[in-house]
Amino acid sequence: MPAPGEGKISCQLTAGRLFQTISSAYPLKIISPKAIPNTPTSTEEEPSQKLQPAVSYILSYGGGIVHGDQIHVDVNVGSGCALMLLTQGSTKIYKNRSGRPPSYLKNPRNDAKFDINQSYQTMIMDVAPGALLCLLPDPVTCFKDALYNQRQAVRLHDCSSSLVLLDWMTSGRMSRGERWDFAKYFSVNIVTLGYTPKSRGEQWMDGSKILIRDALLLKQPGDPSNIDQLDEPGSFARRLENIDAFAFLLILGPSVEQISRMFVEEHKKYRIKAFRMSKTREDEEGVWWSVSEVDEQGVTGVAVRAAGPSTEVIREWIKRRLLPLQSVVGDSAWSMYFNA
Amino acid sequence: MDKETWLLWMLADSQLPTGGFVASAGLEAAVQGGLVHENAAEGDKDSFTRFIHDSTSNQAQFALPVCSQVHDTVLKSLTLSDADANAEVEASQDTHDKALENAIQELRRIDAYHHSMLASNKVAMRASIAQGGGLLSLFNRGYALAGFMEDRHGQLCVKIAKRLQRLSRLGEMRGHWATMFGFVCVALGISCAHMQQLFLFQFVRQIFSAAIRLNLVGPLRAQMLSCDTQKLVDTLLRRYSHRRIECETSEDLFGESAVYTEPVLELFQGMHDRLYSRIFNS
Repeated sequence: MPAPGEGKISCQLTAGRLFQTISSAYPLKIISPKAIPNTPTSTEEEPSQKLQPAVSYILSYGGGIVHGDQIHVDVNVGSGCALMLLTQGSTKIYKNRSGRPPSYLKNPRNDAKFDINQSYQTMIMDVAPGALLCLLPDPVTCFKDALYNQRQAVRLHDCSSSLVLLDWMTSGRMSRGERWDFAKYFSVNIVTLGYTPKSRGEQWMDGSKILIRDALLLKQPGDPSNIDQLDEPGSFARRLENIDAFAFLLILGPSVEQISRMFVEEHKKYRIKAFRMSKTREDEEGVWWSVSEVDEQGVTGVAVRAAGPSTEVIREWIKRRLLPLQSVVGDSAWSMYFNA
Repeated sequence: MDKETWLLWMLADSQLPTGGFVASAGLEAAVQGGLVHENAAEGDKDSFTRFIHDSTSNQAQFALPVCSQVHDTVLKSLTLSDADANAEVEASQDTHDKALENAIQELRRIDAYHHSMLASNKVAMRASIAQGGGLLSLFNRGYALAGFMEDRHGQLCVKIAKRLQRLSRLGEMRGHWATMFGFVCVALGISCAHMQQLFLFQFVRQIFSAAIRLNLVGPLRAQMLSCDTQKLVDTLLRRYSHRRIECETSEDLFGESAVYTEPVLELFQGMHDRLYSRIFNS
């Protein structure tokens, strides 16, 4: 029986058949609708879709995370599988209120490790050789005064493991006039290489090399844990005045190489000419974006950053560029993401 | 005038031959992308002062802890070699080697970790490796031959530096700016507190010199703005000088010891190679 807030998702290919096992405990819920692989057309000599698709939705009761929640999900994608991890609607991080958290359920594993006044979501994801993991959630929306920590580690077993990781956030509950009003948003994404179940140790990092560690912290200067409250001319709310959604996208590995290449090509065409007006520069779609090529110890791909005036603009911008995924994961899994 | 002060002034000199003049810390892309407005001197200095504020506080939380960690670690190795050397004269050579190996191993570990922090930002990574390499070769070809490096510590550091140079030539180590800065400062006997001041001072100075060459501000206005930046750097040092990178356990990796705080600046910096015309490398 998993501890409160803990879940597991595993999909393995055995003798050509997909076996997906899931478990979760309140306040976390995981459901896995069936994804049908494309039937190969007779004209194709080799089926274009080589991976067996699987889909899991990571949900929470109440549609969000309250302070004191400690979500922890372990994910394992076996060779030959393409797992899509989705959510339904943005993950709302509710206001931090003083006192005992409303749904605080003691998880003995986390004793003294976490601050119960903050919320945590941790995911440790294994991608076996030849497997693909697509983490394509809706954005995180932090309400006023929320304190959120998102910690994600992806262990690529070798250079043939592939990953699409989208980590994105909005400025807050815009309809309520809340923009960049949360107290803390901390998001760390780590990609490691070389982990094998044999090298398993006490720590998830044991037996693997760290390739990427991308840690973003947005914290209000007025945060009580900021001991030294000195004059801070630009809080991030002011700095991000034209931006309501920010996305970080990692595309790594051979299964999604086409998408990486397309990003690089499009970025190459993107030319910024020096210009002398006091106006910020975005592309036709109203998005600021940049691509950084990644090449670390045989793991290649791109890191993409995109910012825009609304969640919808960024959502469409990303979806359009991920279209080649359709042939990788099959129409049925793709439509669960694309049509959501 | 003592040696440390003299060295600090040398290192703070804008003529310091580390190739820093090709870096703008993302300012050029921010200007051309429209984030920082041109002619900042007239009326609209806000976007430029904000850039200085944001990028400097980011540097204090992102790279400063790396630099501080290197200083602590190398100093510890040096002191260890002293303690042992005093206790047993015969074992001296042995402990000397041990201290050397220990320092190199730790430097490689910290540098590799710092590299992972830059792996998704190619422009910043490239600039950091280029400037780190410049500083290390400046040390090897300049400071290492200075008279004051002839004592025990000095010779040990010279040996470490030679090994680091070889490792980076073999591609076994990157030699990032923050790592090399920490190492060179500790090797020259500069205290951690002074090194931290210098690290942020240089960062700010580099932005101002880039701003002047981009014709964003005039040299006189830059002097004035630079005066105002002292308070900011002082605040940042008080807040973050105790920070060290932590990468021992999984929880450390998920921790906040070294973080990025400016997603938009990072995004704009990524556009750098797409600028139609550019004078800087980053």
